[in-house]
Amino acid sequence: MQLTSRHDLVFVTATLTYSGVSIEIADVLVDTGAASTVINADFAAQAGVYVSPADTLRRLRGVGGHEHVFTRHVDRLAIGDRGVDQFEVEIGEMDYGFEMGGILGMDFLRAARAVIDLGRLTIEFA
Amino acid sequence: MYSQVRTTTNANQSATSRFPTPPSTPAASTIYIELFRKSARLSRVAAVNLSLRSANLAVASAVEKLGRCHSRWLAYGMQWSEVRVAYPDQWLVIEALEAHSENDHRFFDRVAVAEACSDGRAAMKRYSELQREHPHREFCFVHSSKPELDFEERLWFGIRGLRAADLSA
Repeated sequence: MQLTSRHDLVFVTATLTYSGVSIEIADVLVDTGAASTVINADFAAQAGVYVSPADTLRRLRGVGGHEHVFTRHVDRLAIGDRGVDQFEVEIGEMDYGFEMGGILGMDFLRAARAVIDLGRLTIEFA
Repeated sequence: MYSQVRTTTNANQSATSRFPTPPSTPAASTIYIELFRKSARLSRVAAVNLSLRSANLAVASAVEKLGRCHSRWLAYGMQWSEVRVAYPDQWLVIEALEAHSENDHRFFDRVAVAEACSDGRAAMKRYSELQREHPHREFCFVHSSKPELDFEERLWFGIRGLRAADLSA
């Protein structure tokens, strides 16, 4: 699967499945510096994932600031054929000033056994 | 809304005075009284319905005008338990006036209600806007049915919270 590069960051298209509905999410950042995976709330809404009163709320604290998100187990998160079932994602507004579908963190990349080739700009799976 | 209720009540009273005298036969008069009672009850119900509907419309249009959220800045902070009583069962954007982190959790000790929102999606969007406008303050979205203000806290490196302007700087 080909990666695309913008702002010296690498992005990929992911597939999110929730309650039988699958949607393609473009421009998902591949981020080995992130522990967890975040999905843009606008895309999550397309798949029918809305925040509910009982959802767990989480605060992500970083160097540049902080962001509140909610967490939800989705049926599947995949890149091409390789996916992880019953995967917990964080869902937030992701207002960083440029369009992004989400962030694939180390929790997903390790579970999916991703092999990232930055020379050829590809992501494959072991 | 109030003027409408009053008008409806006046109309009822004048209708009562215009009501014809019941006939003398006992059976017929009973029917008359029963009819009279029913119509009075129906108009009362109609008046209540009307006032409820106009109240709902007024609230709905006000909420719509203000972009699905309405502002309620409070001068002083509140405890979460007080907020829950004042804003039962609704989505809120709140601001932490005092907060601390402990054991990978964030606790908001004193809060102010920034906005009450029509649904969770609106609250998330409004939270994001307020946080962008005031980056050094601390907001969050939450539903007032939550017994405790409890946020798991995770450390995050990299682009978290940075904006494009910061990236190019």
